[in-house]
Amino acid sequence: MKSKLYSAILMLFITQLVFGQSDFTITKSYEGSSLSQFLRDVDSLSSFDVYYKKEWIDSATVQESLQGMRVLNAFDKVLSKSTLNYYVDKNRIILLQNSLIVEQPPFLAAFQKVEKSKETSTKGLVFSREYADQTTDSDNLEKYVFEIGNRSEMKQNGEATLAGYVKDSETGEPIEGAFIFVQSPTIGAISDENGFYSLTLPTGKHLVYAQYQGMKTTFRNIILFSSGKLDIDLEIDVIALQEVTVEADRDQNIAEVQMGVSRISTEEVKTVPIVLGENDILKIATTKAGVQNVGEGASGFNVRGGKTDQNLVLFNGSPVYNTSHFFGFFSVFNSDAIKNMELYKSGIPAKYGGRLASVFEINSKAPNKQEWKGEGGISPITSKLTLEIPLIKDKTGLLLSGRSTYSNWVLQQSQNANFKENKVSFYDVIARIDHTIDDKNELTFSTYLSSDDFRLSSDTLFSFSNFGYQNINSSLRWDRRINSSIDAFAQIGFTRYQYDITFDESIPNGFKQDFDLTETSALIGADYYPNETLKISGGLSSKRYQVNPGSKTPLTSESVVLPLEIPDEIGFESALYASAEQTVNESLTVYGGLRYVMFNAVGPQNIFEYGSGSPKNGDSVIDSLSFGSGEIIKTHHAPEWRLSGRYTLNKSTSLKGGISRTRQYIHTLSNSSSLSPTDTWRLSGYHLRPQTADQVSLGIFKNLKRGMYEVSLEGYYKWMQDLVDFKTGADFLLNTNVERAILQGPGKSYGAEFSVTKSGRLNGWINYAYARTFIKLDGNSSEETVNGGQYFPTSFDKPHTVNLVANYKLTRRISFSLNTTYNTGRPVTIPVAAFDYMGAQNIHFSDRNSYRIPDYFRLDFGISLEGNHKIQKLSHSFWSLSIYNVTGRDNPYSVFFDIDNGQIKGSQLVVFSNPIPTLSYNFKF
Amino acid sequence: MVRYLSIASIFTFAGILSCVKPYEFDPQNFDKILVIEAQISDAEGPYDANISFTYPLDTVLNETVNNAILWIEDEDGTEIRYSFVENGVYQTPASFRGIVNHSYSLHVAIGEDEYISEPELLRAAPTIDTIYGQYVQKASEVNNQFSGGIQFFIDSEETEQSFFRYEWTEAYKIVTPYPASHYVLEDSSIVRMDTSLGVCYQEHFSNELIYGTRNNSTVNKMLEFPVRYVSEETQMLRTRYTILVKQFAISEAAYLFYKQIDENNESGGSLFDQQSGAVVGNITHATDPSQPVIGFFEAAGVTEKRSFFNNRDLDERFDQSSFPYYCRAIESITTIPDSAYYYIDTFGGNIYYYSTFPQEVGIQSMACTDCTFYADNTPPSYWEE
Repeated sequence: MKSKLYSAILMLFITQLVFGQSDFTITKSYEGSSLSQFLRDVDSLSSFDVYYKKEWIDSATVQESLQGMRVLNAFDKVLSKSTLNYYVDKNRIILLQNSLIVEQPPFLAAFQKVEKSKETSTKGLVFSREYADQTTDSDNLEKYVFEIGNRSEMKQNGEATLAGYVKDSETGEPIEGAFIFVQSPTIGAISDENGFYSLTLPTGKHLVYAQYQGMKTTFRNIILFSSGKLDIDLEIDVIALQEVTVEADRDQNIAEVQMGVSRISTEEVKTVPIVLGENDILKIATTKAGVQNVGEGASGFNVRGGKTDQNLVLFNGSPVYNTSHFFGFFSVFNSDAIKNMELYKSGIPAKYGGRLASVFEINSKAPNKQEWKGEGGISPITSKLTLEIPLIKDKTGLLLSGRSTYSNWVLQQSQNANFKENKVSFYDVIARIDHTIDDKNELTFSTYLSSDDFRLSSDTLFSFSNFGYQNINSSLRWDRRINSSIDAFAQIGFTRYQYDITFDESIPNGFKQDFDLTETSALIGADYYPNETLKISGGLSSKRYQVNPGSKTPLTSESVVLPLEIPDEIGFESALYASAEQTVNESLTVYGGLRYVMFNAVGPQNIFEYGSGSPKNGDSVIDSLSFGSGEIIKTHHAPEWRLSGRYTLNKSTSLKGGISRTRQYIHTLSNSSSLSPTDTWRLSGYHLRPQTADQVSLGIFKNLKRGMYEVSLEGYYKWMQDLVDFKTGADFLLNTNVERAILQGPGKSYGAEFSVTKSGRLNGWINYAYARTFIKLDGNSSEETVNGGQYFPTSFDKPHTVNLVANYKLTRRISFSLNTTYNTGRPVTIPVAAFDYMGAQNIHFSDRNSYRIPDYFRLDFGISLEGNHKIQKLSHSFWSLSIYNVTGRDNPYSVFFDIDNGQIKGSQLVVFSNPIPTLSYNFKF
Repeated sequence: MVRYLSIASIFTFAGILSCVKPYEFDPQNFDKILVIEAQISDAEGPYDANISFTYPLDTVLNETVNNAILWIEDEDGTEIRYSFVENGVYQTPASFRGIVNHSYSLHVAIGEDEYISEPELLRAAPTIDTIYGQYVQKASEVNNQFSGGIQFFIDSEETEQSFFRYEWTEAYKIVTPYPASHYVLEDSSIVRMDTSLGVCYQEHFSNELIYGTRNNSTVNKMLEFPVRYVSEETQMLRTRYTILVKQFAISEAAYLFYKQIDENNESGGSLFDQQSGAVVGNITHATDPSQPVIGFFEAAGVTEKRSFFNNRDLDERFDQSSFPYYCRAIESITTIPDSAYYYIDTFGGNIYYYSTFPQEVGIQSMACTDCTFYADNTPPSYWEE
C-alpha cells in the first residue's frame, strides 16, 4: 500500500514538471493560414514534436493572430473551437480527436494510444473497462493518469463533476456502497445500487480512491478538466480481505446519513460458524445489535421490538413472505447466490414502506457476463450449486442457483421407524438474467422459488399430517440512465406465498386446507443529481393484494368434512414518494423524505357491524353490510415522513439522528408466541386498522485506531399504534369473523445498542443491546382487555442481548471462528395456581407474559480450511467444520404445563440440546 | 461418502427433532384469586354457586369462601338471594327458575368487596333430536395405541343459538359372571340369598368441559356433535348403557371462557404453541376492575334427552373386553361342608353355586360374585329395561 502511494505521488510530481516546460513563444501571426502549417512550424521550429492525424485538420485554418503567445496558449486558442484537444508529454504535443474526454495511458505508451483514440472517440465516452481489458494488472491502472473532461472547458479555480460506476472487475457487477474519495480536500461519495457515484471536485489533479469491503482499495490519478466520467473496477482482495473491510466500513459508517443500517455481505457470512452446513445471511443478521428472534428454530425476526410481520423482506426488490425453510432452521436464501443484504432498523428511505419495523433488502449476485463461474457446497443436510453463465458476452448473463435437501432420502435409509415416517424436504431456486441493452439501459429479470414439504408421523405438533409451503417471486426491472444526472427505473413484480395442510390419516376426516396471498406490483422511480451535494428521488408505486385467508375442502369423496371457504380479501396499496438528500456543508448532511400511501380494501365482502362500546362478538352484531365486487369497503390514507441527518464532528466521529413514521396495511394473525408457518396474513379493512409506528433515533459513530475499531452507540424510542394482537384463546385459522378475535392497541419500544467492530487478523464484532417492548390492550370490556389494560412486555421482549462474533486467521488458509450469544429469556405466561371449576381441576395462568424462561446462552465454534490461493487454480475450495452449541446447554424454547393425574407438570421444549457438529465442503470455480 | 452423510444427517436430525425436559417451576409464584362459579337455567332449581380461592399448584386443597352474600338480580331489579349450604356452596331458593329471554346478573359481596357479573341473557336451547353412537378408533391415553370405542353424538333441532355447553350423566348395568347365590353362616349352614348381588348399576357424571359451536357449519343446528366417548377398554358397554345429555344454550362470551379454560389445561409443547393466558370471565370487582377474579355467571336455556343402548345393538367392530376382574380361579369345596365358612373367612369370596347332593360349594372372588362391592344394586329411578 505504501509503495503504491509513493509511486502515485511521484507520478504527480513528474506531471507537474511536464507542465512547467511550456515557455516557447510564437513569433508569427498565422492568422488565415492553415492549421497544418502552424502545426508543422511548431514541430520543426520549437522543441516540441507535434503528433496528429492529417484528416483531423485538413480544412482547418487559424482564425486569430498567435503572435507573441506561448506555444501551449496558442494551442489552447487554436483548438478551442474545434473538436480537437491535445496532450503534452515532455516535449511532445499530441493532438486528439475527442470532444469530451481524453484518456491517457502511461506516458511511454502514449504513441500507441494516439491511433486508438479515434476509434474510441466515436463512442463519445471512453470507459476504463476498455483499459482493464487491455491490462488486468491494477498496478498499471493506478499508474495511468486519466484526463477527465475537455481541457478546453477547464475553468481555473472552478469545479467539475466526476461521475462513474464502480464495478467488480471479476464479475462486472455494480458495487453498492463503495466509498469514492479524494483526500485533499476531503470529499467523498458512496456508490448507489447501480454502482454509480458522483463527486464534485476542484478542477485539477486528484488522487481518487475507491474502497469497498472485501475489495482491494485502489486509486486513480486524474486530471479533472471538466465534468466527465471515470469508471473504477475493484478487485476482490483475497489476501488482505479483512483489512479492506475495515477501511470501507470505517468511512461508510461515519459518512453515511442513515443510521440503524446494517450491511452484510456474503463475504462476512463466511467468517461466522455455520449451522447445519449452511452459511446463512439472515442468521448473521441476528448477531447484529437490535435484531433478535424468538428462539432456536423460530422463523422471523424481531427488529427493535417489532413483531415478526413488521419486516419487509425484499429479494431483488420483490417481497418474500416466509423467509424460512423447515420452520426456521434454514433461511430460504442460498447465500452463494446472494450479493449482499442491507437491513434498515431505522431511517428507512421513503422509497420503502408497508412495514413498521425494518427493511431487509437482499440482492442476488448479478451474473457474470464475461465468463462462467460456479460455486457449490455439500453438507450432510443440503447440497447447492450456483452458476453464472454469460449468454451473450458483455451483454447478457444468467445466474442460476439451486439448493435442495436430501434428508428425505437419508431418512428413508434409516432403520429407525420414527425417522422413516417423517418426510422433510425443501428446495429453492434463484434465476436472474441481466441484459445490457446499451450503456444507458439495463434490464434485469429475477425469479425465485422456494418450497417446503413435510410429513410428520407423530402428530404432536399439528392436527394434520402433511404440510407444505411455497414462495414464488418474480420481478422485471428496467434501469435507464436518462442523462448524467438522472437515473430512472421501472419495475413490475409478482409475489405469491401459499401453504396447504392435508390430513389423510382418517378417510372420513380427510381434509385439505389452504392459504394463499398474491401481490402484484408496479413501481417507477427516478433519482436526480442536480449537483454533487443534492440527490432527489421520487417515485410512484401500486400494489394489489389478494388474500385467500383459508379454505377447507374434503380430501376425498368419502370424507365427511364440511367444505368451508373464507372469502378472499382484496386491497390496493398505492404510494407516492419523494426524498432529497442534501449535503449542507462538509460536516452536515440531511435527508428528508415523504411517502403518501393510500390503501383501499375492496369487495366483494360481507361485513358485520358491531355496537359501539360493546365487545365484538356474535351478540353485539347490529348490522350486516354487503359490498359488491370492486366496491371500496374502506380507504386508509396517510403520509409517512422520514427525516435523518448526519453531523460530522471530526474525521472519525459523527452524530446521526432521525425521525420516521411507518404504516402497515397487511398483518399476520398469530396466536402462538412465535411465527408459525400457519399464520395467516390479513389486510386492513373495515375493522382491522393499519398499524403505525413513529421512531426517533440518535447515534454516535466513532472510529478508533485508524478504523481498526469501529464503535457506535445508538438509541431509539418507538411509539406504535394499533398493533395487532388477539384475545386469549382466539382462533385465527378458518375464522369467518376474524375481527372478533383481534385486539388492537398501542405499543412502545425503546433501547440502546452498543457495538464494536474490529478488523485485522483477529476480527469480528461484539455488541450489546438493551431493548424493551410493550403493548397495551385495553378494550371496551374485560373480554377485550389483557392484563388489566396495562402495558405489558410482548413475547419477544428480551432486555439484554450480547453477541460476540470473532474470527481469527491463523494462516491464509486456516481460520477459526467463534460465535457467542446471550440474551434474557423471553417472557412467558405460566401457571400460578390451580382452581376447581365445574367439578374439575384447572390451571390458572399468570397475566400474559409476566414470567420469563431461563436466559439463553450459546457458543458455536468453527474451523475453516481453505484450499490454496493460487489464482490460476481451476477451482477454489474450502472445508468447514462447525460445532453448534458447543457447551450443549439446554436452552428452553418454551415451557408448557399440563395436568397429569391431578398433578400439574411443567415441561420445557429444548430445540438443540446437544452440540451439533457439521462438516461441509464448498467449492468455487 | 454416502455412509458418512447418512450418519451425520441422522445425528443432526435427532438434534433437530427437539426434546422435552422437565421444567421446575417455582411454587412461590402463587396468585391467590377468587373463583366464582354459578349457573342458572330455565330448568327446575335450585341452582348452586361455588365460591373458592385458587390454590398453589403443589397442593390439592381448595379454600372455600363461606361468608359471602350472593344474589341474582333480574332485569326488573328483583333480587333473588342465595342461601349458604356448606363448603363454599350456595343455593338459590327452589322456587326460583330462570325465564327465557330474560337477563340476569350475579352479585357477590364478601366483606367490603362486591363483585358483579355482566347481565347474561337466558336463551332458549333447541331440543336434542337424537343421541347415537358410532364406532371410532382413538389413540389411548394410556399407551398411545389405537383402540376402538363408541363415540356418542347428538343431533339437535334447528336453532338461532350458536354456542352450547353439554353435560352428561351415564349409567350402566354391571352383571357379574358368577353372581353370589348363597351365603354361609358361622355355624356352617348355607342360606340362599334373597337379593341379587349379580346385577348392579353404576352412574358417572361429566366432569369435563364440553362445549361446541355451530359456527362454521352450513346448517343452523348442531349435527354430529361428539359428547361422550366410551372406550372398549372400559366395561360400561358390556350390557346396557344409558346417557342423559343436557344441552345449554350459552353466550359467545361463555363459550370463549370455557374454551380458554380448557385450552389452558392442555398446552401441547410444540414450537407453535398457542398463547395461554389468564381467563377472562364476565364477573368483575364492582369498584376496582383491576382486581382479578375468575368466573362466569352463566344463564342458559337447557334441554335434555336420555337414550339407552344395548351391547348387542352396537357396531360389530366394537370389541368388548372381558370382565375386568380375573374370574377363573374357581374354588370348589366338596369334602367338608363347614370348610366353606373357613375358606371364605380366610380368603374372602362368595358362594355362587351350591349343591346339596353331592354336596358341593363353588366359591368365587368377591369381585366376580358381588357387584355391590363396587356399585349399587338398586337401579337408578330412570332406569328402563
